[in-house]
Amino acid sequence: MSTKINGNQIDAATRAIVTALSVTEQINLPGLTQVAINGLGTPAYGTIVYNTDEDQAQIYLQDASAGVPGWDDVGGGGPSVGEESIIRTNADFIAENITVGPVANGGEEFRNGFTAGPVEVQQGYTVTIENGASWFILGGEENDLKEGEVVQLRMSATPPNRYLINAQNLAQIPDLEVSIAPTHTNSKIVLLAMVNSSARHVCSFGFLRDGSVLTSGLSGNTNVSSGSVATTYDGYDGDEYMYNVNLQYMDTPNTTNSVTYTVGASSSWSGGNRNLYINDRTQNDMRSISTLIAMEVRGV
Amino acid sequence: MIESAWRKLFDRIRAGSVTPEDEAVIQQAITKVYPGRDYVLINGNVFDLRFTDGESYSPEEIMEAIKGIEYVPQNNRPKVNVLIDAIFRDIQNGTLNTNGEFYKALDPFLD
Repeated sequence: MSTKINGNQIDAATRAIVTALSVTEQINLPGLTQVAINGLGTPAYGTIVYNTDEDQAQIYLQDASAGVPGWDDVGGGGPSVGEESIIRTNADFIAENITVGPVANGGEEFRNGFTAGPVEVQQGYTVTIENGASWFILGGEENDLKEGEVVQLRMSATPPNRYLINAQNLAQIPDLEVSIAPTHTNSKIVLLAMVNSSARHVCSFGFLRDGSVLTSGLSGNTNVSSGSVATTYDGYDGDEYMYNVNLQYMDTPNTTNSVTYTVGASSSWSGGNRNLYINDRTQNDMRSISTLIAMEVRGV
Repeated sequence: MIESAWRKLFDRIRAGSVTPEDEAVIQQAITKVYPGRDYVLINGNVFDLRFTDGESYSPEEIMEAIKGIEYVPQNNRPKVNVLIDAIFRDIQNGTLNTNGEFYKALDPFLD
């Protein structure tokens, strides 16, 4: 490398290593097109240029993304207007492939993100959200729902089968289940069930999430120990009568993964199981169906 | 249980037309083979039985146990008033034959 410095004169073609450089007015970065920048190949880390295509100062980093060297915009903070960037702004379209999450971007600070809506991911591009990461679009979307509004509803109904349950604790009613994937971790799931049964003597009904009693510990109940949402009692210990049992509960599953809800039922007393007929009575002549509804409601 | 009785009961299980009395026999057999287990029996079909603890079971063992259950089918025949009603409906519907309600009500209990 040749040094062409003479007093305060520096040759325009000089390539030099300077230990310290004090500038009193300005530094003009080299203005390069994207093609020209690409032509630099792999320059030294810390190289700064002005990208004339992007109208943006850019620096070559050792870890531009996911530990891979590359160019990144200098500055940051993104576009904004007003004093002290009081209003942050973004375009209403995305025209690149983006991944939100700590793995692809190499840091926990990339786990959760947001964009002011409306925003459209243009055709041919994808925004990928890593497992455990999240991307919220704030407002502007037609389907944006407020707190308390229903996001989705799932329903299940049994066929008119005769289910004979003989169990001490809540046993899942077959064929009566719904799976639902909440759109937000703070969503509420409102559960509504209607069960036709013989409801003999003391019967208890409750909900299960992924096979576990959802309301375990909610209530003390000599029939099923705990977890009953609805209980019926009739001093007559026979099973000729039919009842229509309705139960409701609101769950907060705290996940966006799919969860499966079922309805459990039991009839017993003091350790003695009774026959509990679902959708029928003992005589096998009053077939009906039972239903289960799960609604996702936007929470706070 | 005499052989003709359990054979007819097995036929009803396979045909999905078990009676409440059949179901009581099946329950006795379940308890005999798997004592103390909680379960859900669907449509009285021993091949569609679910233990609440998720354990598997052998329907063949239950069927075998059924043979040893005390069961007098004649004691469980439909009541006379029920049969008369069935005859009436069969006459009204022109189905007083082997496809009719009356025949099907008595068939499980007669050799």
